[in-house]
Amino acid sequence: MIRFLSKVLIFLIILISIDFLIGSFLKKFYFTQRSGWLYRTTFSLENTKADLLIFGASRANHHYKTNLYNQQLGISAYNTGRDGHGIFYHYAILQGVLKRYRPKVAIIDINRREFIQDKLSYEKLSSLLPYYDTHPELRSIIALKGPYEKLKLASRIYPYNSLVFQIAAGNWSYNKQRKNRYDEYGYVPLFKTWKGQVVYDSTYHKYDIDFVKLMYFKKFVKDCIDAGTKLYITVSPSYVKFNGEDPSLLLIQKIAQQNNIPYCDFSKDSIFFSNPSIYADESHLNDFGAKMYSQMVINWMKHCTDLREHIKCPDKGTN
Amino acid sequence: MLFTSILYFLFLLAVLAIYYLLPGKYRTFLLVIASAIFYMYAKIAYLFIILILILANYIVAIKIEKAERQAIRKSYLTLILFLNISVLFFFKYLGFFINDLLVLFLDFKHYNSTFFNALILPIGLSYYTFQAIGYIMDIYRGSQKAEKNVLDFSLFMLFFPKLSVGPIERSKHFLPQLKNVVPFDTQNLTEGGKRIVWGLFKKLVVADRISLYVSVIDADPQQQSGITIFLSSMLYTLQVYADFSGYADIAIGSARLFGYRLMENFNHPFLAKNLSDFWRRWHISLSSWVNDYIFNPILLKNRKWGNWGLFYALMISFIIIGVWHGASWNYVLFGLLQALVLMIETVTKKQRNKLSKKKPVLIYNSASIVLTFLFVSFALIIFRTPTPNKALLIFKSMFQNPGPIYFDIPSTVLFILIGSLVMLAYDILQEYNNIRFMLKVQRNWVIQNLAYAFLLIYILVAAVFDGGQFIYFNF
Repeated sequence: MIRFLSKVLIFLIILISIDFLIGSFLKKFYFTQRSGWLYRTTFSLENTKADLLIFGASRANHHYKTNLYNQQLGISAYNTGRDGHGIFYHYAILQGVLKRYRPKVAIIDINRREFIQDKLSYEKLSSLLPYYDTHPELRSIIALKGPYEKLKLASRIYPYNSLVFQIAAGNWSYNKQRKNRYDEYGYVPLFKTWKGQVVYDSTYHKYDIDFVKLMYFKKFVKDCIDAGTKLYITVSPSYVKFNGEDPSLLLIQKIAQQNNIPYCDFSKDSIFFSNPSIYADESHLNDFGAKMYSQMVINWMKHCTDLREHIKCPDKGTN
Repeated sequence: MLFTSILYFLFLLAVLAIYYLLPGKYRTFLLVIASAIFYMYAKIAYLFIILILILANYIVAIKIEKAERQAIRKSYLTLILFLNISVLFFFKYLGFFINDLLVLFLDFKHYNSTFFNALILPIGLSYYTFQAIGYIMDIYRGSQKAEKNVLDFSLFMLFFPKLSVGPIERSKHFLPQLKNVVPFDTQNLTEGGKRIVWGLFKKLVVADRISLYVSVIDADPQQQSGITIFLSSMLYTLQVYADFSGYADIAIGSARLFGYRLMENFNHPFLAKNLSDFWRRWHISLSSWVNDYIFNPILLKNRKWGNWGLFYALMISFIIIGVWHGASWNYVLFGLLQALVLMIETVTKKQRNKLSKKKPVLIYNSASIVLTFLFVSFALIIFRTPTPNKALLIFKSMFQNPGPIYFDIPSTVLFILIGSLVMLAYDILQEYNNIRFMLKVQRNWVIQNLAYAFLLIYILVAAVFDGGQFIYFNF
């Protein structure tokens, strides 16, 4: 029995040592990346000091051409959007940012079914695991992932699960030059051209609202207001015509109205249904479409508020 | 409680610790209670269904054994088979029977299908009802004695490692193991542990990673190129194998920790040289069950018909295997296709033997393995598509859609490649007894430990931890 227990102990020591070594190695190289979406998350949380921040999922990341905002609004902009992520991720990024500075303007691009109940939104919180140690402000958000996350985080490798090849690519300078891999202040352009017809989404039906997501959206809005960040809420265009009003969007409109936040749903604008060549796929604009859309958003922002004055006087007015 | 969840391993460790601390005579009771808790975790109501079946089968089996007159024995058999099949039919097939069959023939103007669609199949029902039917048939045939100890019989039905997704255990194999107190044996713990680690690798590293690719293609196959659909179909075959056999490995490993041996469910099926060989290696506990209780009795009854009797037995057996997976036309079609190809194999056996003698062994065997794998992969397209029309569209797209192959993000492709190669290499080494490289016969303790430690580390590096259910949970 003692022999068996000592064998188990040795096995555990070997296991923990390898886990520690490989985990530390992955951690080191995770934070030395200079390109790719993992790097952009780190940059959003730890480095960006842009006046204008864009939050959202893939449609935020591929639709908001940051250079245009820099040039036309005369302020620095950074796109923190990340494919497949929802309100928990946006809120986490905002927390990381607010710990360091107060951005002057923020745009949050939201999707239909933003508040739908789904397991995936919680699973996607694994993107924040590498920051568990260094960003205590994210821990309560990461805890939403499940009751055993703390236990799993006893492993040093676990936060970097499935990321080994991305970490290698992010440390590879060639990665920056690859088409679809580089970014302009966080914006990642798409260059494909969609050739399909307008999609009619008839699958619309009422769904139950995830009140945790709704709560985090409200917290996002409140934190922006408290920080004096002028918030804009937008819905990007897509080549899909939806059947009926979306319950999440109705709630978001209501919150925007209550807090006097500019809200615009560009997905209903007929100009975006006239030509499929501005899309990379049915849900995403390509670089050409992003340029056109960004120009519309900038015009809209200028129209809804005197942005320049707001930036010049950060401690008065809407603050 | 998923076998890959932290909760399952905490549960397993707790039960294991109490099991070995308790005196031998209380251990079966502990495992019955633990299994009941495990089952209740899914849904409390499920427990009542299985408890009714346990009690009914336990009592009737003793009655069958005690009855002296054949007519009475047969009446008891009919009664208990009716109960077992009725429960299975009610939960699994009634909706299909009403929605898909009766409405074809009857005009239900005010028919509302909501009730039948809302029926949820209790987890593991198909597995434990088949287990009970097998037990009762053995008692009726006199090849097995009725179990008098209600706790032992309950554990045979409920034992949590095999409760959700099998294997469909046989009473002759499992019940005798309960008669002796299992002494604490470190080999059971190490062998069980290794089997669990290997199962986790197959499920989390191979199956769930492939699923990331396949689910993208499945979402809209007609938009994909033919070569992509072909690749996805091949990968789906590997996914099902890794998923189901990974589960079986965790089940067998978990049982081994308690000192019990469950029957093997897979025997390197992708090295099968023809379809009959494949079915001897794939889901063995189901195929051997159907062989013993359906195929052989039908064949015996119709032996005068010669090959036609064999064909008839094959047809019935494989329709049952198909329909066992679910109440849907695609499963019926899947079963029929298997039976048809097995008939062709029977008819062409002599010609194939002649051909095998003319060709070099390596080439003939390799070609046979590849062809069998391709057929299984094509058949699985029918298996996983809800309607024959959709399956037909996928076949059409496979041969008609031009375009380049779709690669997901490079890391998915690399992880799939590494995981699948390791899994297949392990099977090949085992099949051909290339024991020098086999970890399980490696006597050097340090090498063994390092190897399993690295396997666990690789699981941490490459597993998909946020994966979904096991595919075979649905059946």
